[in-house]
Amino acid sequence: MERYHNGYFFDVEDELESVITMNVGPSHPSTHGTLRLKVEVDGETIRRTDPEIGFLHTGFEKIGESLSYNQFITVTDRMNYISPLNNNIGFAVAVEDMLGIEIPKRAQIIRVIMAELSRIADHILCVGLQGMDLGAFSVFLWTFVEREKLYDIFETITGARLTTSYTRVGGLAFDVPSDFIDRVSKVLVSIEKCIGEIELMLTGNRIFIDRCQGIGVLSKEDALSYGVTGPMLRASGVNYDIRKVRPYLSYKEFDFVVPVETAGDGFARYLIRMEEMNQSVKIIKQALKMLPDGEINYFDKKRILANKNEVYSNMEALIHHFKVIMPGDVHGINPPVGEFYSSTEVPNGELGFHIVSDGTSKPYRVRVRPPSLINFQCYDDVSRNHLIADIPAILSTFNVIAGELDR
Amino acid sequence: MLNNKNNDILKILQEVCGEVIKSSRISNGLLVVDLLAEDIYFVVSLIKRDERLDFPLLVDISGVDYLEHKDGSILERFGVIYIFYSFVNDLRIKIRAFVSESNPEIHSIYNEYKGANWTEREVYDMFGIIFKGHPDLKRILMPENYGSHPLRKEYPVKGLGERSNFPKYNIYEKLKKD
Repeated sequence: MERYHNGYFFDVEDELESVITMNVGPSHPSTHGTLRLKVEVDGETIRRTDPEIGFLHTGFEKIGESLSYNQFITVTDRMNYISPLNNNIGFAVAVEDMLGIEIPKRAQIIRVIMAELSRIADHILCVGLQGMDLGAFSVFLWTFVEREKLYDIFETITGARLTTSYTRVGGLAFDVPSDFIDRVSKVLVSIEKCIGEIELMLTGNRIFIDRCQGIGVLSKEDALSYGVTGPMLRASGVNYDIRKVRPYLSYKEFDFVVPVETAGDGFARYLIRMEEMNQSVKIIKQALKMLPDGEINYFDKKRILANKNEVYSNMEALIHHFKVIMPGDVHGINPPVGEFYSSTEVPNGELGFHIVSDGTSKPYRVRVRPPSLINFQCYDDVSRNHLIADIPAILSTFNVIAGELDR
Repeated sequence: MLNNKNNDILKILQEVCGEVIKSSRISNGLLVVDLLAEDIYFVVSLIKRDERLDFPLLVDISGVDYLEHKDGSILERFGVIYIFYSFVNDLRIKIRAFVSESNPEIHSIYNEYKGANWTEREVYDMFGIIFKGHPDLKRILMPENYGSHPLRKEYPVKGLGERSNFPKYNIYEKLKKD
């Protein structure tokens, strides 16, 4: 008797004797979030996995239909809660594309710096967790120290560690403080030192290599077919990075390399993340040098939020503020009727926003293309015929964030 | 440059598909093609296999409920939106397949792109569009016994209440059947 499930045929009679079903999650240390894996094991060997997701589903796409464009930025914080700044920037870039406006140079460069700092914070945590899942606990603690320094910077600039909501349509919420360049440069020095230490600790580590190399291999053909993006696709040998393919903000002007590995296993993904952190440091150093003076908001009083100080003191600014905030067909940012797709490169891959506009102040529909959900699909294929002990080793290289997985 | 490439691709598509393409346009550097639901599998297998087109990466599948949308280009109530990327041509294409309210069915493209598995399940979960030929079509984000499809426009933003309001899910009867 054959059983058809999830695209595969299983010989039930053969396996019925020895296969047992085991649960990992919904709350398990190695899942780093709430997701459940129904694992069918034969002895120690994984035969099949059926991931069950949706525990953190909060209906962001439905909420988006009843919020204005600026209000939805607060929702994007909650999607990938490890790197919220990247989500803020992704959504703001999408709406600006739709309106057809280009924000001032200073705002662009500040966004690039914040996006890359946030990328480092995400990657450094992912590498640390990968080390912790395989028993290298000190690496995890070192990376947390560096992440804390980055979060201190985010807190001084945006006022929050996690719910940053830093961008606005057409610019930024606040300008950076005067000691911004000094602080970031200081943190970059300690991050570079930390990356070097992690490399010394893990890259040549016999135990780490044995647990990662050849584990969770994703071939190039499968990676493309599954639509995987980000470090996982680049570890499988495909050079695809939105920053190079469809340059947004000022990424055209920066000199950086997109690292590509061909092995497609856990170790290749680790190497990609390490190299991407080095490249991010390189980008930030260039950006700090070219940070110009000037405005941080696009000049269009009818559609872009006015400066708060002016709103409190100037009547005209107050009227413009109301024009943007008030709901309805004639108020607010009224983008042209139509459909728009725009994507940015976040630490996990391609974060896309497909926005349908009906010309009012609220989007008709916001579709988020979540990199975590689409990357995680291939988990069943990748983990097949591995041992139970490899589950955390594979899961940590996927960097699945439950908030983005379920939205 | 980008528009030239878009036009080339569009020409090839129109040559091969002919009547199938209801309308097409280029907006924001993105080639958009509208079709009806029954033609989707033909067009998708074509753009994957044809050497001149060659779109190997499925970027996203999503759904839209056009119930309250006032636009002339809408043919049916639901739209299923496919976005593909081509490395050779460095191009994105968006295919919009319209699905009617009375017969919400469309062919699954899982045989061509494995990445369609979960994204199609999500569209089924949120809009109630049935994908024929999908190997394991079940809800992905909402609970299995959830009665309605939340991203349809008639579903209230407030929701339908707590979990106790859901239809009873008799797990014991299901076990007996198995």
